[in-house]
Order: sequence, then C-alpha cells, then structure tokens
Amino acid sequence: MAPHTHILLNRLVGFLGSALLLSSFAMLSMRRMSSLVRIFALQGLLLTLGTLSVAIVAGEPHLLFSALFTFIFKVLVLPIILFRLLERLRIRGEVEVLLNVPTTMVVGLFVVVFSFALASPISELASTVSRGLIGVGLAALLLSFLMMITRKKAITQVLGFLGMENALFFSAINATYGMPMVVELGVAFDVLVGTFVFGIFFFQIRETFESFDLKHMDNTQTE
Amino acid sequence: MIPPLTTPLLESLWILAAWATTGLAGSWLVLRIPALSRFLYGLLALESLFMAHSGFRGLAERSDTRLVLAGGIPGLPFHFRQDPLSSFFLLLLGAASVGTLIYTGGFMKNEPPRTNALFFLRTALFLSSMGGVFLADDAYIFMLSWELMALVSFFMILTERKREDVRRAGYLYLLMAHGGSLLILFAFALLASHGSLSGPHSLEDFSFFSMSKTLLSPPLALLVFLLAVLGFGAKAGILPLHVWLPLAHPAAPAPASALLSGIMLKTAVYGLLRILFGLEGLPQLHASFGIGLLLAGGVMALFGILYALLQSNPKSLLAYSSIENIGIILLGIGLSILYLKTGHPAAGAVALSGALYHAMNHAFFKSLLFLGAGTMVHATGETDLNRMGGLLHKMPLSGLFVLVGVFSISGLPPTNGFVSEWLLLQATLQAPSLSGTILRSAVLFGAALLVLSSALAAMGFLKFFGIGYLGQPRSEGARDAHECSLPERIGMGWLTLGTLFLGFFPAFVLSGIRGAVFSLSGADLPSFSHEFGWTWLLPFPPHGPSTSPIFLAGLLLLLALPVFWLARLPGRGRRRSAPAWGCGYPGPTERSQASAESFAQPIRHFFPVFFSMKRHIPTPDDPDPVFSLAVEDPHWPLLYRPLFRLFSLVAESAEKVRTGRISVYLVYSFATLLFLLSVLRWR
Repeated sequence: MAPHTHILLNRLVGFLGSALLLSSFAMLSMRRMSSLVRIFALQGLLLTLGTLSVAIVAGEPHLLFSALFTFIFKVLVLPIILFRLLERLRIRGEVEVLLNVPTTMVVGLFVVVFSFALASPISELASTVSRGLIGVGLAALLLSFLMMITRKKAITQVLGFLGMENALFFSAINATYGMPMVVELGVAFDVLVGTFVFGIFFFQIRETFESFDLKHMDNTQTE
Repeated sequence: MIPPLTTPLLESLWILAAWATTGLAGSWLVLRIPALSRFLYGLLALESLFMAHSGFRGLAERSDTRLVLAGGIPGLPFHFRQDPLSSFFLLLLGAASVGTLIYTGGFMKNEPPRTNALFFLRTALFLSSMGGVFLADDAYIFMLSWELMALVSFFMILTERKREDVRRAGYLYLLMAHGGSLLILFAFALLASHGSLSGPHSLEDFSFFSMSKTLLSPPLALLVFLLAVLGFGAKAGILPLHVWLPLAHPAAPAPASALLSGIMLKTAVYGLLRILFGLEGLPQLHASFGIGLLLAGGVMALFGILYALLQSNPKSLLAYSSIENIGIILLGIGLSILYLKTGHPAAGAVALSGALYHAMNHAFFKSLLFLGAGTMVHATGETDLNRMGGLLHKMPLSGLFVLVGVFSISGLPPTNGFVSEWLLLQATLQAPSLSGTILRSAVLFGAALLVLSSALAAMGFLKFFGIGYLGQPRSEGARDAHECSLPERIGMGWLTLGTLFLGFFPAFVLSGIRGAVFSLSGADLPSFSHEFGWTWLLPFPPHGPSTSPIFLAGLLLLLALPVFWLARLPGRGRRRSAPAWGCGYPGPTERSQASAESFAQPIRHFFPVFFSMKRHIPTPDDPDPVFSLAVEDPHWPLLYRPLFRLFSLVAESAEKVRTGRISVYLVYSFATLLFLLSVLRWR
C-alpha cells in the first residue's frame, strides 16, 4: 500500500473516532426518541467504517468480518427492531430527563477529559496503529453510561446500554485489534438476544404500568 | 479385590469410604425396610471398630505415612497423612463411636423411616468427615472435611426441625461454626504465605508439609496462635464463643449429642494441636501463649461447671460440663506449651499426655452420659430433672452404667477421670522448678482452678445422679419409666467398659499416647520401667510417688466388703420395705425432696459474680405468692445482645443506601467505575 494512502486512512480512522464521540454527545442531547435510534444507527455505521479502515491499515483480515457483522447487526437489524418497537408501542413523545440536557453536557465534557487522562498510559503501552483512539472509546463508553443514568424511560436505558457495547467494541479494536472472532460473534448475538428480551419486557411493562417511566420499576421501599 | 492394607493410613482411608458408602446405601435401605436399621447401625459400628484398629495400629507401630491422591483442585492434589497424633484421634473416633452407633440402632427404632434414614445418612457422613479432618494433610482437604462436618452436624441438630428452639439452636451453631472456619482459614493463609503479605506463591504452599516450614515474625506467630485458638475455640466452646453448646445439645437427639460432644469437640482439640505444634511448630510458640491458654482453659473449666451445676435439664447440664472438660484439656495444652518453652520437657510431656488422656476419657464418659440422659428422657418423657427421680429402680442396668460415667467425670480414684486429672495435677506441681513469679503463679492459679472445678464437677454429677436416679419418682412419667432396649444397653455397656479400661490400665494407654506426644513435642514421658509397671500410673518425677488405680480399686472393694456383708448376711438384719423416714414430718411426699434448684442453691450463693440472676421473692401479704428464679448466661446480656443491637443498627443505616431507584443504582455503579479507574491510573 502506498504510504500516502496509509496516512490518509490513518487520518480517516481519527476522523471516524471523533465522529463517534460526537455521536455519543448527540445521543446525550437528543430530545426525540426516533432521532435517538437514528443516531444509534449512525454510530453503528461509523463503527463499521472505523473497523474497516483499521482492518486495512493494520492488515488484519479478520477485522473485515467484524466490520461485516457490525454492519449487519448494528446498522440494519437492531435499528429496525427498535423502530418497530417504537411504532408498535406508539412512542412518539419526547425523551424525559432526570438531569437537564445542558448540565448533562457539561458533566459529559468532564467525563471526556477524565477518559483521555485515564487512557494516556494505556495508549503508550498499546502497539496498534490507532492507539490514540482508546481514550475516545472510553469516553464514549462513559457517556453512554451517563445517558443511562440521566434518562427516565426504559427504552433510553436500552439505547444507552447498546451505546456502551459499541464503545467497548471500538476500544477493543483500537487497543488490541479486536477480540477473537468467537468472542465477537458471541457478543453480537448476546446483544441481539438482549434486544429481543428488552422488547418483550417493554410490552409487559406497558401492560402492567401503562407507562415506561422508570419510577414504576423502582424497588418497593422497605416498610 | 481389596488392595493390601499395608499401612494404617490406607486402612483408615478405606474406612472413610466405607462409612460414606454405608451411609448412602444404608439410608436408601432403611427407607424401604426400616427393620434393617439396627443391623445397619451395627455395620457402621463394625467399621468404627476397624477405624479404632487402624488408630491402634498406627500408635503401636508409631507409623507416620503420607499419601497423595489425585483429585482436589488443580495444583493441589489431596494430601493425607496419618502420624501418631492422627492415629490417637482416629482411635478415639473409632472406639467411642462404636458404643454410640449400637445405641442409636435401638434409640431410633420407633422413629418414622424417613427420619431414621436421614439420621443414618447424617451419622455416617459425620463420622466420615471427622475422619477426614484427622487425616487431612493440606488446608484444602482439611477445610473441606471441616465444613462438611459442620454442615452434617448442623443437620443432625435439626433432626426435630419443626421445633422453634431447635431451629434457633441450629442457626446459632451454624453461625459460630462458619465464623470459626473463617478464622481457621485465615490462620492457614498466613501460614501458607510464609509470613509475607503478598500471599502464597503456589497452591502447593497450602499443604501442611510446606506450611510447617514457615518462619513467622513474633507478631504474626501470635496472630496465628490467636486465630487458631478462636477459630477452633468456636467449635470447642471456648469462652465467650460457647453459647451454642448449651442450646444445641438439648435440641439434638441423644446420639447426636454424644457424637457432637464426645468426638466433634475433639476435632477442635486436634486442629489446635495440629496448628500449634505441627504447623506453626514449637520453636515459634512463646511461653506466654501457654499462660494464655492455661488461664483461658482454667476460667472455662470453672465457668462451665458452675453453670452445669445450675441446670435442671440433664442435657444442658452435660453441655456445660463439656465446656468444663474442654477447659481442662486446653489447660493441659497451655501447661505443656509453658513447660516445653521454659526447658522442662518431661513436665511438658506429662501435661500434654494428661490433656490427650482427658480428651480420650471425655469421649467415652461424655458419650456414655449423653446416652444415659437420652434414655432418661426417652423413658420418662420429661426433660427436667425435677420431674424424674427414682429411675435406678426402674432402669437398674443403664443406671449402673450412668453411675460409672458419673464417677469418671467426677474424677473419683479408680476411674479414668482421676487418671487424667492426676496427670495434669502432677504437671502443675512442677511449678517450683519454673523461674519467674508470673509463670509460677499462673501455673498454681491454673492448678487451683483445676482442683476447684473437679470438686464442683463431683457435686454437679451428684446432683445429676441423685435427683435423676435416686429418691422417689417426681412425676407420672418417672413412675412409669422402663428399661431401655437391648442395643441401647449394649452401646452404653461398651462405653462403660471403655471407661473402666481407661481407668484401670493407665500405663497401657500412656504407652500409646507417648508416641503422639513424642511426635508433637519431641519430648518423651519419663520411663516407668519398674516391676509391675503396667499396674502403676506414671510416677512423676521419675522416682517420686505414684498411684495405682487397680490397687485403689482393690482397697475400696476391701473396705466395702464388710458393709456389704453386714447388710446382706442371711439371718441378720432382714431386708424390709418401709416408708422413707420423713424426719418426723407426717406427710412426706415426693415434692418434699431436694429439687435440682435447691441442690445448687449454695453454689449460687457462693459465686454470685458469675451469674446474672433474676429472682422474685413474694412478700408475706402477696395473695398469689409465686417464687421465681431465672439464671441467664451473662454472655447474653453483656456481650451478644449488645452486639446484635449494634449489628442491626449498622444494617439499618446501610439500608439508607438502598433507595430503590434504578437511576441512583446506576450512579453508584458509575461512581464506583470512575473511582476504580482512577485508582488504577493514579496509583
């Protein structure tokens, strides 16, 4: 491969990483449920492209398969399932938050700074081409976690969870060129099955509480 | 196809397996054909007899064999070892359980098949796990057997699980047993990590052989000592961890109590000896450890027997008396550490053999007495001594057996209790040879406690026998009492014979104990090679005075003969039955006999500091006068209840963290994650 292509691809990986981080912030700030799912699909696409470029830069052919699976699951299957869920559950309303969006964004900024500080020694140890992006993965992971904390509805929790999985995958690829194929396949299926289970749960929850507000799922208080 | 039993260790391991398989297969059989249970208990007893043989062989040959079997966890196969100390305790396990097992066959015959089958299974597994404790040579198999033993005995206590008090007692026992295990495990971990804080290097470090090579700094040696004493003490009933004993024993069926008190408490003694002498090793002990153990044992003995005296339930009386006896054993161990560390090996060996001898004695007479208490409860349907009385007429043979047990536990001369207490006293009499006032006075203080508690023991068991077996029946149940079944009498008879044997042939027993003492301490007993040496108890110091139980028994018989002759001579003083003399009182009833409480009144009066009493004496003008007296173990109001209150206070404040909101829980995870990551990063 020609060196300038190499540099270009390297830049591309960096660009995709920052786009991923941006998409995490976008998920934090979105107010409509359907746009949240769209951003999740976009995040999947960015992940696919990122994996693809790392595969080419590093010359790791098995990452090509990873990219393929990522595309199938995270760009096609999961968003479709989620959209159907939204449709069948007739969810159109706004995302309800526990902590208002600007405050969450500020907290998110601190989380990003923390993640980069945390990742710097790991980046020095790692031998991969895209080692600078480990911090991005960690930041995306913590941001998704933050989303799970600050949102009220059960579906947003699931999206936060899926976002965490994306971020983990991204970190793994950048730190060690991904996990073994078997593990990745297993994780992918786990996420799929998890989404199905969540879907069934949502129907049950609506049957029982006629709402998705998490406060109905709060543990009963003692006494 | 039986492989040749070339070593006692192989024989013992085969018997462990035999016990377990007999238990599994036998419980299935008992469930289908309940009548078989008596024979199956006989089979277990036969296996116990083989175990006793293996232990005896090990002691006679002084063999010390190790065996490594595949299995266990990766990197740590099962290590087994039978050295003279293990052999001694295996002999104790085998010989004392024979009687209890035969007895159980008769005791459980009227129970429903399910109960009977379960009890059979638990008994067999219990024996097998105790054997495992004695044979273990690495921490893993030791803890495995130890925990199995704790669990199985928990279920044995829960035989009558429908009763609320039984469940409470069982739960308390389980709590204590697991707390103790934790401490023991910690002691093992310290020994395995060779005193370094980074932990053991490999799993092989957990074998006892590797642990015995450990060199510890003095503070760590003290820590291991304390952990072992408290950990094994929770099982043995060391103060203040004894509270489960007086609750568990009345709750459990008699054979279970006999096994628990007679044998299981000895596993704790064994474990303590193994860690202190075997793993930590004598060079790392300090004389002050001995003083601590000596005083702890002495206080335990006095406390145990004082409370035994106050009990009116025969089984709680025996339970408190177990605390006393374990106290005596610990006192002996402490004494031996003290002597061995101050350069008096012979006195140390005598004290250690006194402790081991007492462990063996206690296994026999306490099993016997628990079985006796079981027959008392079975025959009368009462659990209170105040509702028994006059049982000797109804149950002459078992009464006679119990009388032998009572003599032994009181330490009266021709019996085995006398032998071991004599040995310990002889060891304490070497105090003048010690240098240092503290050492000397500690030993003499221990001696005083020992003598006081054995005198009180005699009084306590006079109460046990006098109120229970003598006098007039105090209830309908006692009036209709009947002699127990044949297997029960055979079982008690076996234990009685064992007790008498241990009393009459001390030299023979000591020659066996010698090997165990030598392997532990490297000190040998003074030799007793003079003419008719076997009839004499160990003379100590070597040319000092000695005593002979056989001679004493002959003397007693000689003194008793004229009385017997005067009473029984035909023609003179015909026997006639007449109402008991009522001291001039015209209407004596059975209610005017001394009761269990009145018997102990002087003791309550003399030792008020030990008791927390609630007494209500009605005033003369009370229209409905009721005298009430409640004596409680002071450890409950002073230690355990405040502890429980503190515990629930902490638990309730911790409850505030649990808000029940998912978001809050997520914040907890998030904060923990951030914290751990920053620790990782900026360590």
